[in-house]
Amino acid sequence: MNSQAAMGNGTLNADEFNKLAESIAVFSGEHRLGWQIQKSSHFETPWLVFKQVVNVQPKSQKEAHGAEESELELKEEASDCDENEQVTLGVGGHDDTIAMEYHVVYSESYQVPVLYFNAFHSNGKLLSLEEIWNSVPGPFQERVRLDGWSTITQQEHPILGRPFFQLHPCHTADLMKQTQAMNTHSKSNYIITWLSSVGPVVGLNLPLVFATLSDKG
Amino acid sequence: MAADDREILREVWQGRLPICFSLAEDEEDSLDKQEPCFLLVSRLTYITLVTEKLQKHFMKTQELKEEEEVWHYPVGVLFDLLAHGKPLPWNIKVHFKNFPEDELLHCLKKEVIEAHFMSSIKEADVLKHRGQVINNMQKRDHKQLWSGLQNGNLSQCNYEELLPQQFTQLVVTSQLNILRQAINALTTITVDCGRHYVESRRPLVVRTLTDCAEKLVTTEEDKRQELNHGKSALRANGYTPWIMKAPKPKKKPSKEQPGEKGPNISVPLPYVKGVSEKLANTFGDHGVNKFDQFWTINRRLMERTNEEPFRSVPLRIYQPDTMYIQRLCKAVADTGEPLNLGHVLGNILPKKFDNSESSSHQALIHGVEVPMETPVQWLSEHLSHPDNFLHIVVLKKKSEET
Repeated sequence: MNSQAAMGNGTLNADEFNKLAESIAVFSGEHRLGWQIQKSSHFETPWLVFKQVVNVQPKSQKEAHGAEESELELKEEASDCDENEQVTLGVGGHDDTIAMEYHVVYSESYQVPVLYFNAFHSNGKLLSLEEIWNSVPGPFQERVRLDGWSTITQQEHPILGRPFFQLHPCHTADLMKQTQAMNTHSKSNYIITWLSSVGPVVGLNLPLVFATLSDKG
Repeated sequence: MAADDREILREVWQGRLPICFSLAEDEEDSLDKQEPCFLLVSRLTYITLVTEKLQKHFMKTQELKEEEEVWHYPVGVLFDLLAHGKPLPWNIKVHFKNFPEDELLHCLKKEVIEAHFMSSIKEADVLKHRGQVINNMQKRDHKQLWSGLQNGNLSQCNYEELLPQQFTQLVVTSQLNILRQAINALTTITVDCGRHYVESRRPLVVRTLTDCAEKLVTTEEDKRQELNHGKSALRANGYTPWIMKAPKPKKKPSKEQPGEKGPNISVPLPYVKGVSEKLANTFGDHGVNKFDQFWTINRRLMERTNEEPFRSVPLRIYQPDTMYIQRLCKAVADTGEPLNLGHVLGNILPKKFDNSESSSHQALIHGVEVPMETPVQWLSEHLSHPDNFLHIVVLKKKSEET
């Protein structure tokens, strides 16, 4: 198996990505975590999708809270994996509810997974890039403020063709190389390791139970 | 790089499309019908970069939002995809309200395009050189790439605004005719600009010459001489008298930016026999050519590392009414044989390109049908857009349509 060699430089090949994504979907199904695999007729590699509804503090409160002002707070997860439909907004009726949709798509160019996401206000309107930057939690704010345009940008979803926000993949291989070098003994799932380190930037916090998922599924 | 090849880079850089922008009907104030806005727009730019101009034009009665069309495809790609073969100018309806945000990328500022552009260049370099070239560049090099594209193609748009009545008199086509030469079928392609191509540039030539006289020459006497020389050169090249009366460019007060050496002038350099050489020398002396500014940096991205062909060729294939296709695409087969466009398209779209003479589809790059035998490495080095991707538009052949 050449997976170790390929993973040594922090990248994945498409087959490895498929297997890891598949095992996440299966694991998620068993534990009702809401991650699903999707396929398209015109794109060979499947991708992972996760949806959740998050709560944002109302504006008036935000101003008083300084740095943490508009941090996305995890309200509830779309925890039922049988629930295949879009998170419908407006059901809750709150203006401060935001539906998040995360897609993990394999990039052939970078040979790493890429996180795409969209965020909708309860009236169905997309959040603007500015709002997304402002919603980045405190610890990561500085980075985004410094270099927002190369961290989170709006791009065309490579499969759906609709606009999505993208966490730029150019540092993923480096990050994973370092992470893997530190954890030579662990057999953690590449995608989970990566998501748990970059996800929090955009309000995606993986439940701890994922840590029990090894690279063998 | 061979001199002919370099000339192709320049031709690609100067490719223009005549576009007529008009306000969408539902946004038009019925009492005060807006005149459409005619512009010659670079094929390589993004439509949003023209927005400022449009906003000024339509500003009088409309409250505008800074929102745009499918801004993230280069103008030339959009044209080939949507309007190839249709009469020019290309008519674009401008919507400033009711932007379909869930379908189109939202573009508020130039920074959005810049980020998009730079991220494409990065991705392309990852494909070509494992990202080593772009990572070794300084931030200011990155900026120079962007400003080369932006200034080189945006401010030229400003120069090239035409009055509608002049427009109708021009037979304009901005397509290059690339003719394959029989001598070395694999590597030699020549560019034939053709009469119409030059014609489309005529107003630019006039502008260029007047600019040259007004901005680069200091004494009054020399200025007059320079203008007279320009006029006689234009007459000698068969220019009609009316075009000589083209309005002089408005004085742009803040052309010079502090910190930059020399005048910051953006003018295209169309080829007119005898005149171009003189102009090239003059501009060269003053270092005002954006083409050179861009290519000084871009050359490094387009070079092969250790004479090796690119690891993969960054390309996207566009077809009407569907998502573009981006696949890993090698420049050389495992056998060592250079891969050509026919191989690549046959591989990605086998039903449309079966490598027979009677293929039902054609592939356009910069509006030109490119011979299938052209090596993709050569295409990547010479016909890539400034974002370092080859944008190929695949269309059904005209004769096949019933």
